Amino acid sequence: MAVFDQGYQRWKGEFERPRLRWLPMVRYQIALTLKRRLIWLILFLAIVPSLGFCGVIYFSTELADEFVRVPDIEAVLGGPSPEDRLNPLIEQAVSEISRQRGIDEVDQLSRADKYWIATCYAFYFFLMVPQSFVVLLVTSAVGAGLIAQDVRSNALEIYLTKPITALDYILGKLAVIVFFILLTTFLPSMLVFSTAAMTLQGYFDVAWPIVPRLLGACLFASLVNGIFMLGLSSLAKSSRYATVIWFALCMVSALASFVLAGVTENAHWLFLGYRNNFSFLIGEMFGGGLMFTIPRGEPVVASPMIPIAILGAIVLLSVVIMRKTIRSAENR
Amino acid sequence: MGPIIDIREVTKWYGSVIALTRITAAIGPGITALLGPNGAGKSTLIGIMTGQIRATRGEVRVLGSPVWGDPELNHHIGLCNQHDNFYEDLHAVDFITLMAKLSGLPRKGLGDRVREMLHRVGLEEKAWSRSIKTYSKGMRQRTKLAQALMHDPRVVFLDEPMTGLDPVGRHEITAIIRDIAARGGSVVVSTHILHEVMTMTDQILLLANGRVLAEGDVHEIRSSLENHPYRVKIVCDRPRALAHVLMEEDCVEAVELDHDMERRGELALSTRRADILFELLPRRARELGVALRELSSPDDNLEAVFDFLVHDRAMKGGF
Repeated sequence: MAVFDQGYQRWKGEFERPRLRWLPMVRYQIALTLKRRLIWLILFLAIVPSLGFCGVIYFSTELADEFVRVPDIEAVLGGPSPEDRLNPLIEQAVSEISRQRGIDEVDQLSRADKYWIATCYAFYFFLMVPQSFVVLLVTSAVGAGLIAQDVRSNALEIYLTKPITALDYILGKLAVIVFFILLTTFLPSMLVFSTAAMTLQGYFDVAWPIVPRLLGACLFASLVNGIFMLGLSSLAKSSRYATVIWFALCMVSALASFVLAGVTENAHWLFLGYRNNFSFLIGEMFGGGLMFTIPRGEPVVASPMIPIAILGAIVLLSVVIMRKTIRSAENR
Repeated sequence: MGPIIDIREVTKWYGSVIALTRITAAIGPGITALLGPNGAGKSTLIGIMTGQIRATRGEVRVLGSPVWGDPELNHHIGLCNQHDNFYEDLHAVDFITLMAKLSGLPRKGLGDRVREMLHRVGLEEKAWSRSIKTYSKGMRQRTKLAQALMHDPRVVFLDEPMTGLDPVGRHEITAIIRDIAARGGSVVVSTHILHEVMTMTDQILLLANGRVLAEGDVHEIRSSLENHPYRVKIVCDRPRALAHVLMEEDCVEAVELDHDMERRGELALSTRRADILFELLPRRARELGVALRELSSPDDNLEAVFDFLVHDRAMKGGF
């Protein structure tokens, strides 16, 4: 058993003055968040679609290889050689995409072009359909209480007694959301990419530029969603309140945007939907604005400045709300 | 050497409500008690002195630097807040470690430092690995104190630190506070319970209704209250004889003696010139052959000063 000197112990060391002063806060908040079962359920849900994608890539390639081993009738009849043949799923996807984009000469596209088109669309679909739903869940589960709980338990006050600024505090909180959103979007995306690179011949050489785009898209989504959620979280002392507003804004705005776009036949109403703005901008990153389609499948042609302005306004408003909450703690 | 905490003309408004009015004070090393009834503005002043709250007007300098907007100064400031501010799901060790890291303590040796500090504040070892939400009020108080002292601040602010502590706990915390002061630190203790601070310090800053009523040594403050006579209690073998002589003296305003007091050998005097009385009294006693057994002034303490400055003035509409 240790026996300690009961006198007041002088600290004899030097203080650290790291540039990222908020980092300890992030580590503890992540550890605290990971203690919740709900988070593990969401992490599981986040990985399931990527496992599905990996399975489809792997088994469809295996199946294609089996076909190659049988006498190749198409080659005899003058079709592409087995080396030039793509995974049949990719062939089918590229044909469908080309039809939507009005490209008639699909056969004239090179193998690399086909790989690239299929990659952009596959990852866009991956991020915007299953992972987008996961982002919705993880942002609320992780972020709703980040500031609300601090306000309720007065922890905000104790943070500000330490050598950190209000900006450090916000950055620390934001980093927690960014971490979890990247964990549920970028990591599964990389799992899919790695599987494709290992399974499909020559895929990596063609498709590697998708990696920085994936990272950019995931970072963009995590930063905007994170700031928006922190703004909601700082509105009240209850994380439930922030969660309800978050889902209501996402769902109601999406529903209203589709209804108005359908009724007025004006696709610009789609930007009323919070998440549609991400779909459009990430579509721009992945395929030049033609990814984002209205329900009939027609691409929406619009200036990217519209969603940038909308999301920018949301970010600005959220920052103002956060600042106000911290100011009220300072002027309490 | 200048004061550790220099408060200059500090005023704080909350909307249309004024919390502090032109507070000016200088706090030096050692223990200073920030006193005042509930709502006097003690917590607001502590908030301003620690850079937590922005003063509407005026400035507070701690260790020579303006405290507002300088987070680096928090390396040298420790605050034990009146309110609980924890992550309730964290264990005490994790909470203190987090606070220490945010204060800039390096990882090396941090675990030992945390354990030492938790021992020092008297938090039982078996409680360290329990969530803070299971802690009693006293355990929470000790945890808050540990986080305030972890980084060995030069200036420590303790807002109602004894709340929820049992007598043993109060004694232990008082010992820690004295220890910090004895080693050159500066401690500001806010409380509205006078006997808590009477054992700790004579240095006070007395607030009421957002104004400073008195600042400095409690005995000096008492002496300066010339309009309010001192009460002096004398225990001797012949109180009636002594009372008879002292009534003739100019410095004595009134003498109180009844049968019960006489039986106990007691005599009570009122004086506005305690210094003259204390010089004169032994001489007169010797001349009369009276044996003085005890001499005390029930007015020469914090409670009397507080009563007079806060309650009496308030009753007279002095604020």
